[in-house]
Amino acid sequence: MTYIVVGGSSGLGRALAERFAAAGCELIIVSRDIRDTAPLAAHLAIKYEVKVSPVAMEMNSSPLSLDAIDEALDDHSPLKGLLMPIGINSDDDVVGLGAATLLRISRINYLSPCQLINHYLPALEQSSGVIVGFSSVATARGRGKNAAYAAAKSALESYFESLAHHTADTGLSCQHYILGYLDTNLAFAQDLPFPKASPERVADVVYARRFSSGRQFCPRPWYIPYRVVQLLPWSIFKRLAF
Amino acid sequence: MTHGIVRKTCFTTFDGTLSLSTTHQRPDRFSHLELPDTTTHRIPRGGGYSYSASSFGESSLVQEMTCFNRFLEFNPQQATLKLEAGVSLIDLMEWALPRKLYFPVLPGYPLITVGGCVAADVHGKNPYIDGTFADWVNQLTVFHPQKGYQSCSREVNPNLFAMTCGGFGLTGIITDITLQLAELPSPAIALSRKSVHGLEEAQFELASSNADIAYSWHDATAGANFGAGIVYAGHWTESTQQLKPMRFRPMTASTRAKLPLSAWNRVSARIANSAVLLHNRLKNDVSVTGVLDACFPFASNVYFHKLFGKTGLRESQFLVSEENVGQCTQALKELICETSAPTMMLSLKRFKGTQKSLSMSGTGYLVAIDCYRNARTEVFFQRLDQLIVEMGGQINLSKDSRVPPEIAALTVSGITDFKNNLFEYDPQRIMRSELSARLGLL
Ligand SMILES: Cc1cc2nc3c(=O)[nH]c(=O)nc-3n(C[C@H](O)[C@H](O)[C@H](O)COP(=O)(O)OP(=O)(O)OC[C@H]3O[C@@H](n4cnc5c(N)ncnc54)[C@H](O)[C@@H]3O)c2cc1C
Ligand SMILES: NC(=O)c1ccc[n+]([C@@H]2O[C@H](COP(=O)([O-])OP(=O)(O)OC[C@H]3O[C@@H](n4cnc5c(N)ncnc54)[C@H](OP(=O)(O)O)[C@@H]3O)[C@@H](O)[C@H]2O)c1
Repeated sequence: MTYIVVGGSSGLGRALAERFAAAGCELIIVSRDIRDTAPLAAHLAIKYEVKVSPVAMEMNSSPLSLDAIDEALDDHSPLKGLLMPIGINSDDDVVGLGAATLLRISRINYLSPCQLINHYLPALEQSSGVIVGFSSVATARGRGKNAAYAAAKSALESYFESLAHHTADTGLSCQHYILGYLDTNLAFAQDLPFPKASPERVADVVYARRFSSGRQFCPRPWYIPYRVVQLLPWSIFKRLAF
Repeated sequence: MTHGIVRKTCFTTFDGTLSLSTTHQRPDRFSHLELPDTTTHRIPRGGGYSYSASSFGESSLVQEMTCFNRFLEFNPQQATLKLEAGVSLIDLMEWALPRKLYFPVLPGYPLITVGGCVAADVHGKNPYIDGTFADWVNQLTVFHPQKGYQSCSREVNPNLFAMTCGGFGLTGIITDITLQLAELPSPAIALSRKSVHGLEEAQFELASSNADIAYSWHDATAGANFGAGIVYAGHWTESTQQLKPMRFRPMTASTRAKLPLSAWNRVSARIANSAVLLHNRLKNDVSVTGVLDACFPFASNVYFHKLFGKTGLRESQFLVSEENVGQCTQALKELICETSAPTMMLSLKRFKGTQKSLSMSGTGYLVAIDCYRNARTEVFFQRLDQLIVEMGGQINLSKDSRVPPEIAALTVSGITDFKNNLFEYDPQRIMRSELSARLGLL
């Protein structure tokens, strides 16, 4: 059984690749630079003796061609899962951001994952497979910062709900995680008010729950601040600078 | 510059004596490694276990290599493994042992990285038999922002290879390393402990030992007990008993220094040392331990370091020739007693190897001394420096965070050649650390 990890070169994606490889799964690891995915593929093959194929692909493109992943899949056992820990944010992401950044953030966090889902859905329905997406606590409420990122991740959440509805009677497991802060490069330089979770810990949760469906907070206690922020009256929320 | 992935971090040496705040990046992609502009001063960092500030420096971007920790190529016929520089020694050994392989030169803490080991050309538990780390390195790739990725070995680009082994990160960032592994003789080590009355006796024991692991530990507090100690000798053995897997909680420079003050002083040091000696007398002479426990004694035994607290410790490590070692240890004893030095413990290892770049290696005996810090510490270290110079000793720059440049000039035998070669190789000295600034290598 083969899993595709889109955004597998670093952070959570790399931790997921390691966790699934440790369980004996074959993998296709996708991100932009083959210099990152090829060493990871070699590492997992040496360490866990599983088959891993690296693929270099730019997800900020339209139309998005998935031929390279499909070609890699021809060499693997049947597809079982699509894991999409891909994501970007930007320091320039405030209301009024430039068109290029807006498009890039929307494509990478929302449009490309949806295209991937659409493309692999038939095969995954057939194999009673798994689709996993990753959103963020930034979606609790739209703020001045992370404006396009939160909007794109909210759209992704909505698409996942539609997916769950659409496939409710099939054997497909589809889940999306609302993630708190992670100790990865995405948040490395940010001074954050709460501790950062280790990506390995999140990967363990994702692996353990891979055949379940629905929305999940990870780490779980993030549900509380998420709901508190949602319930704040506008008169207070508008004054918060975070 | 390195938008979004650089932050300010306050770095502290493992001995806790020096801290400074500078920019910090933890690259996990090649594009991150290459991102800062080519004139930005920088220095690579591994696990941060150096006692000196060799992996950080003022106005230098610290590039922490711990995410570059992948195995790249394994050749089972040759027993060679190509891996990235940020692989920790424990990850290397946990991979190698089930494959009946091991790496012979292991410094005492499991989270030290292979890149840090090449850069300081570290030693393991028996340098007399195994030499130093770089002796087991076949090939390196070194990234320099203005020169790109350069492959080097003893045959290809030999000057760069020689400068990088023991070069403390000053030639560039090692991205990958090909290591020669050794066949694992057996799954366990029988470690014998012999009580000795003094350093001379220990030296005699070490000289006549054919053990695979050989070193000694001594009480170094000033007084009648000075030099009483234990000689450890380990031999590979087939174990019949079920060995416990090694467990440890990571200790870093900051978790080591959690106690606000040092618990070590003359009284506590004497009590602790006497307890160790007594315990050794009451215990079996030989115990069978797993390879990891034998190689990483400080992993499960963190109290010694932690009790130095925020005040920190001072360590000096030096190599002295076989001819001079007797005279040196006698002079050392006199110096400690005369100055009532705050010394705690002392250790000896027999050594054989070739000195490289700024590293400490050669033939003779390694002497390591640990001190708690008080008003007498710095004076003692200045007198010790003089003693090392008089004895023609070599100082280990990664274990002593204060070696002044004039002492380094006399006790690091390769320093002048290294400086000349470095200035030719990198006229702008893009790679910089507190150590390189202190030694005048800018
Ligand atoms: C508890 C303990 C026990 C120890 N036991 C021993 C021992 O038995 N024998 C011994 O010899 N030493 C020993 N040491 C010292 C230790 O092995 C060295 O200081 C080693 O260099 C630390 O490696 P690191 O990965 O922590 O690197 P750091 O401390 O982060 O860096 C050390 C040096 O390596 C350079 N460096 C790191 N990574 C790279 C890279 N990728 N490319 C180029 N340069 C790089 C840095 O610039 C710096 O100059 C011990 C230290 C501790 C704390
Ligand atoms: N880190 C946090 O605190 C945090 C908090 C909440 C939610 N999340 C979400 O969690 C997920 C994982 O985040 P992370 O922290 O692991 O991030 P990360 O370390 O930055 O990893 C992001 C991955 O996405 C890939 N990627 C980015 N742009 C791409 C492009 N144009 N084309 C192809 N691949 C691209 C990256 O690969 P290359 O750059 O090598 O191409 C990388 O593999 C993301 O969805 C993120 O939004 C993170």
